[in-house]
Formats: sequence, structure tokens, C-alpha cells
Amino acid sequence: MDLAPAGTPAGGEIGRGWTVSRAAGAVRWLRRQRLAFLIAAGILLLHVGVALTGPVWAPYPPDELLVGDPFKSPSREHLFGTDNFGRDVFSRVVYGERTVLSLSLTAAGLAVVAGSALGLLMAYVRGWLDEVVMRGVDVVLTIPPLILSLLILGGVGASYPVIIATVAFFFAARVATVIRAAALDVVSEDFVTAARLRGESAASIARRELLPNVTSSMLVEFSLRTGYSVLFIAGLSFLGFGSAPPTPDWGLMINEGRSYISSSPWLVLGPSLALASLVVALSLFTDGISDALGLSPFRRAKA
Amino acid sequence: MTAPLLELQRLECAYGGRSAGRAGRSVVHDVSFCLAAGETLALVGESGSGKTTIARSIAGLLVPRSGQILFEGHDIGMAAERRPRDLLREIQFVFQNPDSSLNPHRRIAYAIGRPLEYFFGLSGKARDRRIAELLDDVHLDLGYMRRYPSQLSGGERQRVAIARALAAEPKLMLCDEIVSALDVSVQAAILDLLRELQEKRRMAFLFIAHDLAVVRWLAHRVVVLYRGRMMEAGTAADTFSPPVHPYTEMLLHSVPELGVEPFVGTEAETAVDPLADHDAGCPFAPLCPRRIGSVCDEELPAWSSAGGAHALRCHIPAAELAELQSFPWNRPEEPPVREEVTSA
Amino acid sequence: MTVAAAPLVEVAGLTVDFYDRDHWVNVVNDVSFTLFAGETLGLVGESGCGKTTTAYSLFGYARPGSRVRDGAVRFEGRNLIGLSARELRAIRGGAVCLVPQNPAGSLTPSMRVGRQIVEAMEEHGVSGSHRDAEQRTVELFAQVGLPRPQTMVERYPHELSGGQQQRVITAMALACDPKLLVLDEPTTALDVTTQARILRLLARLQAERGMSMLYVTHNLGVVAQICDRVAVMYAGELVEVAPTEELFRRPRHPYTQGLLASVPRLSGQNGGGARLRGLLHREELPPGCRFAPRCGFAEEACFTERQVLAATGTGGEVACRRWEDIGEPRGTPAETGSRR
Repeated sequence: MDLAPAGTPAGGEIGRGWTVSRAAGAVRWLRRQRLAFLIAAGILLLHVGVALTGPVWAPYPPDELLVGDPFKSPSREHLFGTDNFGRDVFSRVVYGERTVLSLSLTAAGLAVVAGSALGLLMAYVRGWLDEVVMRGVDVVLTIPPLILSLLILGGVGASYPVIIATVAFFFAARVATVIRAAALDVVSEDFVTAARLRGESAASIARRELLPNVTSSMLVEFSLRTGYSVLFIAGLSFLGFGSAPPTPDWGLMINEGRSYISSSPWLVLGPSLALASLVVALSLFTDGISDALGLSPFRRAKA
Repeated sequence: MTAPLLELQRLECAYGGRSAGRAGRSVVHDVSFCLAAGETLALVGESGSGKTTIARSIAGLLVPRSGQILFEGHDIGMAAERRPRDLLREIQFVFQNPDSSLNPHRRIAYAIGRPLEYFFGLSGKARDRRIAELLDDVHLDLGYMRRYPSQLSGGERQRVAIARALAAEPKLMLCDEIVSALDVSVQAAILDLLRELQEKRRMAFLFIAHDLAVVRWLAHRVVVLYRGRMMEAGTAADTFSPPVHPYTEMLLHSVPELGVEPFVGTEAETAVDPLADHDAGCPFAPLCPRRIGSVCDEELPAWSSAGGAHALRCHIPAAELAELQSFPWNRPEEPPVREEVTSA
Repeated sequence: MTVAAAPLVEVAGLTVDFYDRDHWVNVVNDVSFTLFAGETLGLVGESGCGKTTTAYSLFGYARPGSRVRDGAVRFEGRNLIGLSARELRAIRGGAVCLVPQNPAGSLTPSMRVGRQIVEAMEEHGVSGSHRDAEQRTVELFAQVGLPRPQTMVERYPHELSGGQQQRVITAMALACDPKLLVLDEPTTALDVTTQARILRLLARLQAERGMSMLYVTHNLGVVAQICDRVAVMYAGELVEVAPTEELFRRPRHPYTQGLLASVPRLSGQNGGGARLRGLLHREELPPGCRFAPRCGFAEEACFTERQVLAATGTGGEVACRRWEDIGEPRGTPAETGSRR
């Protein structure tokens, strides 16, 4: 139990009504959150805003060559300078935001949906099926995702749907274990037994009774997986297994700018900063919501 | 005479089966009783008595090892998954713990509405109307529909659990220690509610309890269990006045009340292993304050009648027990609280 | 039972609040009572009435997130509120011991039970050598009615039944020869026959050692059997204090009357009279009598005037301005003749 945080009222009032208006309650809630969480949320909002509106106000088109001299260092005209083709790095970063976010969010979303469904069913069903499936999941978890992804993408071709599917596949395994653990907490509760005594099917129970109890875990997982997806997909692009040039993809940009890092570091700095800020913000945001939802930061399930 | 609503014949239950390597230990032995419509039968016993196991096997959460469970004459000794929907509807279970019997992330309207949807296909306004009626039956007002269980007190949650069971329009309600976790005043209100429901709907209750005072208030008939075996069966009036089985006597004297001295025989805890099998002899012999000799250890007592439908299992004859026992709370001029239900 | 002149424990105006998310909630309000050497005081009430918080204050314990806003708890004249951790440690487990509700939760699962008691004794410097402590443990186990104490000390907690665990916990509490035993619903988790045995045991131990007991419970029957006096709490306040028989035969406060009427009896008779109506709504407590919203005898003034404990002349105190008007509830023994 936390001790009263700083700012607690010195005296108490007995006998008057305790009810407070909802708005005041929300403001108090916001003030109670950690500063890091609020800053992280702000940064995320910024990224989302850029993704949604970027093309409208980006100073230059991302592919247009020679909008300035190549390798120009950052200036008022070119906030992140220009690259080897004279393209404006800042605009490319802004355009790249869309790619990053849409890919990661989709992959994470898919992973959470598939992984949760599996986790919920296995938590309810238990028995030999649960054992077999979870051992399969364990196997998937032991495979180094990057290497297998490279094989898959190399073989099938690095199109966006394949990238999303591959990433989702690996992360779904992790989500399944987490959500299954969260669901196991409630599976032995009487209300689930009550549903079982109605004769409801496993799928129905998983959906109606178990699912509402794991939504907070799912939310946290979604946020967490998005962070990992961003890094993973950027990594794939960096290795050349992601977007193809001349797409303004951050990972790709970092790879392309590598050779010039000593002479013109801003080619790499721009996308790197964007990537880092997004990932760190997502990480702090995940911690924050997991805290706010009352989940332990390690298990991502009810503390 | 019509068939009783529920009849158990020589029920035997065990946990653990072939997967345990050897046959699992039986926790219920040779239990037989019946229950008529509109009647309340109390299963009384302490931990390890098997009372919850019996209820769970009636509900279908556990498959009996041997013996029969007959509902309206049909054998229902199978898992809930294999039972027809109508049967599941007609036998409803109310759980002990108000904290876990409702889904914390679902509103009350869902808890009560789901059986309505599932069993009767009700939806929308019709379902909501019925939910309102059921809430009224358990004396909760409409506003509760939109609330979550965390906003309700323990007693209110039990009422919702009862309403949920009622929604299915059952013939039999299995109540597993449903008032044990509640405060005294709340408990009293729930017991009143149960009596009221029974009178209005002619429902049968199998009431599992360890609190004898509660049983006295609510039950028509009582079955006393010890370590999985029936020790005594009779009407409520029978089992609260001499002669009773020595275990029942101990239970009665253990209920703390003003002016009642506990008759516990030996004060010390014994070294009896609660899980040891008792194949021979009376299971209560090690702790029995009226143990008469080695016959108690070697021979399982047979059923002996103590008048009418009252029977108990003791080597001491009922007439002798009647002389030895005296209960200070009984005033002979008081009529029993509940008349026995005569079958239709 | 002889009773010493000066009280062992004196609680005066104890007021405790608890911080719930974003505001302070009052859990104990201006509670005052005394406890004499050698007597057993029962503290009864329903969930949330503040009895546990009050009881725990008797060894200076305040749950994290709570504060003692006002009042004093004097043990042998010394106020426990405000003592340092070190000073409190000397008193706890020594002069004042707790027998908690859940025995399994109070025993270390990986340590033999005998050793846990020996450690407790050594911690408080009660027994001389290690050998002495072990010997004393075996004696204690015998005193609390555990069978074959020499072998019992070698057992692990999970090998013991609930009743046996409770006896071990009791032995641990007695190890340092306390003057005061605080028991927090020690028999709630036990079977009724086991409970009966433990109650018998406690009565005997108390008679032998002359110690005081504060017995916290919601079970009125238990109180009837083992307590000399009873204090009834409602919504954080003391509403009635009386000798046990007096309380049961002539309950004065409407809440006490309602409570007793709600308890089912072995005779099948109900307490007749008024049962308790309604529910406790913590958010809407009036500044006056907190029971007023549910009280069948409440008047205007009851809602606004704070009720204080006043002597009834028959050995008890009641916090109700109308107690003299209320008289006997219907169906109590005083009305229907002698009971039992």
C-alpha cells in the first residue's frame, strides 16, 4: 500500500460527502501519474500527429532530388540537412513516420489478436491440448526471430504483408503466453464455473467471461509489442529486407547514410533520433499504462 | 407417491483417477437420500465431510465413481458437458464466495441476463424486463443493473448470484455455504429471501452448511456427514433434539451461544490423520466422546431407526442416546420451526 | 476473575483515518475503552466497522496508508502512539502478542514449527540458552494441547491441520508470556468443533496465566462464550460496551438489538423484534449518530448530535441519546422469561 504522496491534505473531514465530480477526478488522476508517462504520451501524440498530417506540411517531397545541394548540413531550410541525393532528410523522416507506425501497429495488433485468442482458449481448455500447443509456442519463442525472418523474407520476398505476418507470428507467441497467464488467474473463479455449468462452449466462455478480464493485459501487450515491432521492422529495413529504395523508411535511411557517417552524420542522426524517441516513448508509455491499469510491470498481468 | 425430485443412491465419489497411478481416495461413501420439490434438505458437516463434493457431483462438476444420482427419475451421473441443456437449466448452483461468483468486468445486467439469453433466447427489451423482475425478486432496485460487482457489498453480490440462478427457472438450487462469508445481519436477510423464494416458487434447495443455527432456521430435513459418510438423517426437528448421533451432538454443542457449554469430549487436537482411509469401523470413533469400545473401531455401525424418518448410525441404541443427551436450548413446548413438506 | 484497579490498556479518543486513492476516509472515530488485567474484552462488529484497526492499535500498529489523527493508546500507562520502532519492538511480541486470523499465513512454510517459536523467544530475549528455548517450546506445545509435542516441533506447517496450526500460532503468542493477547478472529477459518476446542483452550490458558485478551470477531456466539465484557462497534464508533450477559440479555443500543435479533439460534427461535434494515453507506454518514439512517428510533436530533457513551447503571455504557426510551426489544429473554 502506498503511503500518502506529497500534497496530501493535512486535515480530514468526517461526515461530509466524499463524492467529487468526475472532471476533478480525472485531473487528479492525471496529476498523480508519473511525469515520465505524461511526457512519453506527449511524444507519442506528436509522432501520431506527424504520421497523420505530415505530408500536408512537410517542406519538401521525400523523393525529390536536389532540392538543395547534397550533404548540406542542417539549416533553417533543411532542418535535418540533405542527403547524398540532395533530398531533404527532414521531409523524408516525416514521410517515413507513416510507414513505421502503420507497419508496427498492424503487426502488433495482429499479434495481440491472434495471441490472445490462443492464450484464452488454452487457459480455459487446459489438459493435453494446452500442453501440446504451449510447447509449440515455446519452440517458436526459442527461435531467434531475426534470423528466421530474414530467411522467410529472403525466400518469399520482402513485401509489406509478409513483413507484417512474420513479425506478428513471432510476437503472437509471446502474447499467447502472457494472456494465457492472465486468464489462468480467473479461470478457476466461480463465475467461470457458473458459465461451464450452463453448458457454454469453450469459445463462448473465452470470449464472454475471460476476455473482459484480460483486456488491460492486452492493451499493455499491444503497446509493448508496438515498441518491439518498430525496432524489429526498422532492423529488417536496415538489413535490406524491408522497404525498397527510394522509400523513405527510417531503417533504410540509416543504412544508406551509414557510409557517410563521419563526414555527414545528419543523414543518420535524423532517422535515428526519430526512431529512438518513438521507441523510448512507447516503452515509457507502456510502463505508465501498465501502472495505471494496476498491472505489475513484469508479468503484465494482475499484480 | 410421486418420485422425489432428486435421489442419491449409494453415491461414491473420488478425486484423482487412473492418472494418479492408483485409484484415487474416495471422499464420499455410500450416500443416499432424496429431496422432494419445495423442500430444503441441509447437508451438514465440517471440512472433509464430503458435502461440497456431493453438491458438485449433482451439478456435474464431478463424475461419481459409483452409485446413482437420479433427477426426476433419470440418471444424471455425468459431467456437465454431456448433459442436455434443459437439465443444466433445472439444476442451478449458488457459490459460497461472493467475491468470485460474479465476473468483475461485467455489469450485473450481464450476470443475470446471460442465462436468460442462453436458456430462453431472450434479448433486448424482453430480457431487460425480466432482469428487472428478477432484481425485484431479490429485493435489489433497478439501478443495480448498470453496476459492476466491485460496487456491491458481499450481501448484494449473493443476491445477484441468487437472481442469476433464478433466471434459469430451476427446480433445484444447490446452495454451497452461501451465507458463510457474510456478516450476521446480511446473512439473516439472505435466509429470509430464500424462505420467501421457496414459498413463492416451490423450489427445492440442497443447502450445504456447517452452521447449525442457520440450518435450523431454513431446513426441513437434515443429513449429517462425517468424513464422507452419512451419520444421521431426519427432519430438522429430529436432529435438534435427542436422540442424535454423537457427532451431531458434538456439532450442536460446538455452536457458541450464551449459556451453552461446549461438549467437545477431548479438548486436545488428536493426532488423527484426516486423510487416512477408514475401511473398517466407525469413522468418528477416534474422536467420539461416547465411544463404547473396540466395536466402534472395528465395525461400521448399521443404520438404526430413531423414530419415523429419523435414522442414525451408531452402535449405541437410539433409546440409550435419548437418555444420555440433553440440549439446553430446547424447550419441549416450542413447535419445530418448519413443518415437513408432504410430497404432492 | 479478579480485576486489577488500574487498567492494563486505556484507549482514549482514538481516531484513525485511512488514505483511499485520493482522500482520507475515517475508519475509527473517537473510540475509548479500558481493558483490565485478567479480563477478556470482545470487540464485535460487522465488516468495515474498524474493530481490526482498533485492535491493532493496541500494539501501536497502524496499517501503511493510515494515520492516527487523534487519541492515545496507553499500555500500562505508556502511550504507544508516537513511540519509536525500537521501543515498539520491545513491547510487541513481548508484552502484547497477536494471534492472527489466518494461521497458515503467519507461519513460515519452509521452517519447522518448533524452530519458529524458538526464534521468536530468542528475538525477545525471553529464554536463556538455545536448549532452554527448545525445552520451553515443547512445554508450550503441550500446554496448547498439541499431541506428541516432541515430534510436533519437528513438523513443517503444511503437515499440520488448521486447528493444529492455530495452536502453534497461539503457542508462539504465548512464548514470551504476554500480559495482553490480541486475537483477530482466530477461529474464523476453522471448523466449528475445532473452534470449540480452541475457545476452551483459550479460556483455560487465560485462567492459568491471568493475562488479558482482546478478542476481535464478528461472531456473537463466540463472544458469548469467552468474553467478560463486550464492546460493539459500528462504522468506526463504539456504540455499546457492557458485561457479556448484560449485553445479551438487555442490549440497549438499537444496533446491538438488531444484531442480536439477526443471529439464528439453535432453538429455531429468532430474536423477534426488529432486524437490521438497510445497509451501511460510508459516503453518507451523518455528523451525528452514524447508525441513525438505519435506526427505527431515530429522531431529527439523532442525525445532528454526536452520541457519546453514557453509563446505563447496570454496568454498561451506550452511545444513544434515546436509550432510556427504547427499552427492551420484543422477544428478548428479559421479556420472554429466563432463557436456557
